Amino acid sequence: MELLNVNIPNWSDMGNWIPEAVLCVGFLVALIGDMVTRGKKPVVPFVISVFALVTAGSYAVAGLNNPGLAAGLPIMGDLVVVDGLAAFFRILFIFAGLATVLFAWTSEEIMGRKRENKGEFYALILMMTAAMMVMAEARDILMLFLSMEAVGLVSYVMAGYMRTSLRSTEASLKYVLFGAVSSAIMLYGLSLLYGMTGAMDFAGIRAALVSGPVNGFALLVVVVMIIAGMSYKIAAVPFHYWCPDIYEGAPTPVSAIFSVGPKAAGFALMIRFFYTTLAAGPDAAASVGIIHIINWPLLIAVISAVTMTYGNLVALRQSNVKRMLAYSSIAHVGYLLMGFLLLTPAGLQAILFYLLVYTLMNLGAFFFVVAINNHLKSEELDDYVGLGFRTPWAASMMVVFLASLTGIPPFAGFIGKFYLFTAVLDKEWFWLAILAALNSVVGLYYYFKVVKAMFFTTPLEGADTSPLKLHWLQYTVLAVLAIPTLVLGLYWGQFKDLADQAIAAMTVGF
Amino acid sequence: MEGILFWVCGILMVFGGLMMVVQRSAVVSAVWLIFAFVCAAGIFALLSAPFLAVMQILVYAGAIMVLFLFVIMMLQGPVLEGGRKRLALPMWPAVAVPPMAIAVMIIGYVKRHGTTGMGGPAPEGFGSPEHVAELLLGKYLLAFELISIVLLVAIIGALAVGKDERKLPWK
Repeated sequence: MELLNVNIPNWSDMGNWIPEAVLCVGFLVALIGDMVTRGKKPVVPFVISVFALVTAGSYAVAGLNNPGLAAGLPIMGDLVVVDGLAAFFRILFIFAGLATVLFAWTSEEIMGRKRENKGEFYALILMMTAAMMVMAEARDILMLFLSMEAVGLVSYVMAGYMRTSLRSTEASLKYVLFGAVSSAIMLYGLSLLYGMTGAMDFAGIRAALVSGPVNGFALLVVVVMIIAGMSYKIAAVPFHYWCPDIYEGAPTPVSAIFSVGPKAAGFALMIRFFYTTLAAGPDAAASVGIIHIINWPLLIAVISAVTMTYGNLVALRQSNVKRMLAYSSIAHVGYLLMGFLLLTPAGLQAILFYLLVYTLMNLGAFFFVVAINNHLKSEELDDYVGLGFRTPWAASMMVVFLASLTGIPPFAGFIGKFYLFTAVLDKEWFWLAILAALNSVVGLYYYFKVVKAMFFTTPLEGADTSPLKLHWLQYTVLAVLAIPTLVLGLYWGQFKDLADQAIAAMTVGF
Repeated sequence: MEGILFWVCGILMVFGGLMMVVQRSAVVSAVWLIFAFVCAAGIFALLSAPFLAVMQILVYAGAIMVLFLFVIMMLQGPVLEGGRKRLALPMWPAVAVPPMAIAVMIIGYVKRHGTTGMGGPAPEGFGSPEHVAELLLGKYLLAFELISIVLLVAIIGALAVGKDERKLPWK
């Protein structure tokens, strides 16, 4: 260790970090803007957050063409890196953040007359987006932990946003408690890993694991603890208990971003961590040596199988649409984990493409629930009866989202599942593929229960059948999510290429 | 010698943490937490990081715990009532042992050059304020900034969730 060798960070790297910087500045400006303006609606924070997200998004999209992306652009040292994976997820998070901000503007749960702190909500979404981006970029266990905590802290606040609602407050408290326990478990695993390897950065950990004699049992404990912490973030069984209660209790726009953002960020983190420390590219032979001490792919396979089965079976029995979507999101994590354990580029590409599709369709389904909740003040399936005729356009778009979530052919969800399943079959995990196929059939049943209620069930005598008129912004956002869900089912090549490029640098030696 | 001191500090710290969790009174818990912090400072000192050890005492065992105690006293009510009867006995070890841990720390500091850890003996200047500052504002600058953002979000979140309690449903 060289001492007092002052290593001044390179500020010119910030050019590659403009999206993050814009979001952080936007966060502060939105807060100040909220303080200095008073009105019925927090127009200033809303406009600032939309502006910040659009600006960050355009810089993130422009960043895709950066030739340095393949090799990875370090930002002021070795803690974070902007590479293909990070660039892909940045765009995903900014898109999800922007859609949520726009939809929250029309949500009674956030913007209703009795609600407070409306301005802070928009500022916090900016911070959450930025923190998720850092999660996808972290390549040092210190940054990994801090970014996870940053996302967690914002989430706790947002889950309890309707603080005059007992349900929302309870959701927030549960989230804090589960979050604290799983963070502590993961931190313990990370500290053991540091103790074993003496390195904090993923590359250093990797080097130490490859070169030195590794205590298999200690490594097993470390991996199990880290998987526990990350499973909590993506809500995989057995760390899913928080998920349904929190999605149900939190304001629905918040549940929408919870079901997409932190999960995708968790996957980004898992991919980067596992595929750079326990299974790295260039020295694949040595990777196998380490992997054989602990069969973590099998461990993940079991988690994946249990997660998808549990999520689907419990979703069957739900009568609350929001809670059903929460369990369905658990089931989707199970599908996604299938791609993670394959140790092939095809598996990772399938995850990324599926996450892209999942973001569109799951946000759409949750936003439909928001729009209906504004009018009916309910998320019960029984109240959805006849909606197909009360608000035909929105209900049709909901059918698109649900059919895509099921994985029916002309929709994007099918293509996503197709890539996942072929990747699984390529590596001959037949039992897992069969189980996943059976699970998709179960999914068909409960997703189409909603469709049946909306279109085919006759409303009870005296039930309200007056047409519902949604806000124009709601129609716009739903359409922006529904059209790609349809189009990506027919023409997906370019987006698949995007996902392929994103992991190209991670899987060099496979 | 360091080995024994490590075990003394380590076991006492775990014990302090355990006592913090099992206490019914929040104040006693907080005092046990101070105890655990002081033991942690002892371990820092054994690891040839005197600056961190001092900061651990000053910032955590000192400033932050004072805040904790203020918060607990502001909350008043049932939190304090529950354990008041049991306050006397469990307080004694909490009060008595930190000086011992500090003694351990001082010994650790005096003998710091002989310490061997994972990476062999610590080099000259390791753990000094200059070294910590260099790492904090050099290699780990981004992490440092991220922590400040995390804390800012926590403050804003606490304000957003906690202000004006008249409107809360259970009031």
